Amino acid sequence: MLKKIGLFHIVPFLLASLIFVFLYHLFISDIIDNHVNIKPLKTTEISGKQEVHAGKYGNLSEVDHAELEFIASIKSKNQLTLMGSSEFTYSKFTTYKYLPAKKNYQVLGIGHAHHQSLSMLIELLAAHPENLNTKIVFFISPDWFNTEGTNSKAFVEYARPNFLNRIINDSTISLEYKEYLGQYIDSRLNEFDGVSKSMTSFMKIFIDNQTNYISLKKLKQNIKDNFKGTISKPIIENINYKLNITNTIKNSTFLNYDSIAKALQLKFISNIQSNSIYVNDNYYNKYLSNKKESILNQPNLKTNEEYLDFKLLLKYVIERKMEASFIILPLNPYYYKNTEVFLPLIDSIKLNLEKHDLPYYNLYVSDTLSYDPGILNDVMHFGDYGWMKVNKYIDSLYYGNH
Amino acid sequence: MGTTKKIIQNTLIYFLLIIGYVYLYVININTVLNPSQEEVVKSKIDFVYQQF
Repeated sequence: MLKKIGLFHIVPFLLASLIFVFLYHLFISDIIDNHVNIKPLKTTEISGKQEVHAGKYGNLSEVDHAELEFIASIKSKNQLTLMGSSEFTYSKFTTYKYLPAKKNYQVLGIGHAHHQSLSMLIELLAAHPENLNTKIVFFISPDWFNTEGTNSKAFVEYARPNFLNRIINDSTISLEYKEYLGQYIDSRLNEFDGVSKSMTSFMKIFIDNQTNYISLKKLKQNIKDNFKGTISKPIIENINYKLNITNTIKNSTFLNYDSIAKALQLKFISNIQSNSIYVNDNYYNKYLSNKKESILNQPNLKTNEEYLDFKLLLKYVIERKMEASFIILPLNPYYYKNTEVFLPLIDSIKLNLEKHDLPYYNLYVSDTLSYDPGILNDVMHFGDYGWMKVNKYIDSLYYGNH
Repeated sequence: MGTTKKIIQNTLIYFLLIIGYVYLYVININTVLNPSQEEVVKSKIDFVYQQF
């Protein structure tokens, strides 16, 4: 019986597999390498006038022209782009509202919750032709490093199809970044419902560069890519932005940041009724009334995905000679009982920034004695007092006002 | 039917099955038949925003 199965099934199956592999390599393998950078067959031009010089977009799907305004903000030598996450609220003291309102500076904020290092890197890579020397401020939230990096939902939200297409088609962008994106997509493939042509191309770059990768997976990827290439001729649309950059005229209004900030701090503290951990009442009653404190996990700097994303973002920022600065947010040590476990991370970030002469404003503290009440509105998001301190720093750094 | 003939016949069947698998599952025949269909990418996992 076993002999029959072996003779009539296993042997024919192995023979069929060999024939398939032989024919595949005979007819298809010579075109394998020609598809790493698929030539764009169609170019879409997105053109328009820059109209937004203040405020923020949570993401670039918020309004039709958000993508154009983002690229314009990056390209404009007079506009400051801020990239952050959930601390980007609608308060009138946020930098992207306060400085344009009081000084007529051009400041645009991008981001909301889960907008982390990888999403920021993708957005900047998409603006590769426009981002040389751009003025940009990154808001680094330590809480990101307590996650497993950018989640797949955030990736889909921030890695817009236009952006991925633009990155894959841009031969001046180093393969290292494309491979890194390919690795991210490949590792989370099961979390995506549908995979675009550009995502497949990123994965192919990653898989092709893995010498020790499971060969079956590599073969499967090559078959997929090349059959698609020869039969359906994939079109990865190229995106071209044609922008009319506009400018506002700054005014020289004097602002006494320290006294305005102090007043905001006193107001914040005097308004708290429900707790003594310097968290505003609404937040405390909604989220903390049943959870009075929390413990942080110390990030492993060798394996922490967010930290690896951040380092690549930093590499790109340096490579493109951006006029970048970094704001490191604190965590409320009255709520997080072991904030000192994040000190190696913060020190490492600081060291990386100092090594490249990149300015930063570190507000992270590891104990309650060093904590400046009111800097956060809750456990991790800036309050008005915190924003006013940031406004002073940014005004001084980018506009020379002290 | 001779043994050799049976082996050749089964080899052919398995070869066709492999080709079919490649077309249906590896290449995804739908994208081949409809190359211009709109690409929709979604996350299967709904990450709820956590405040802390």
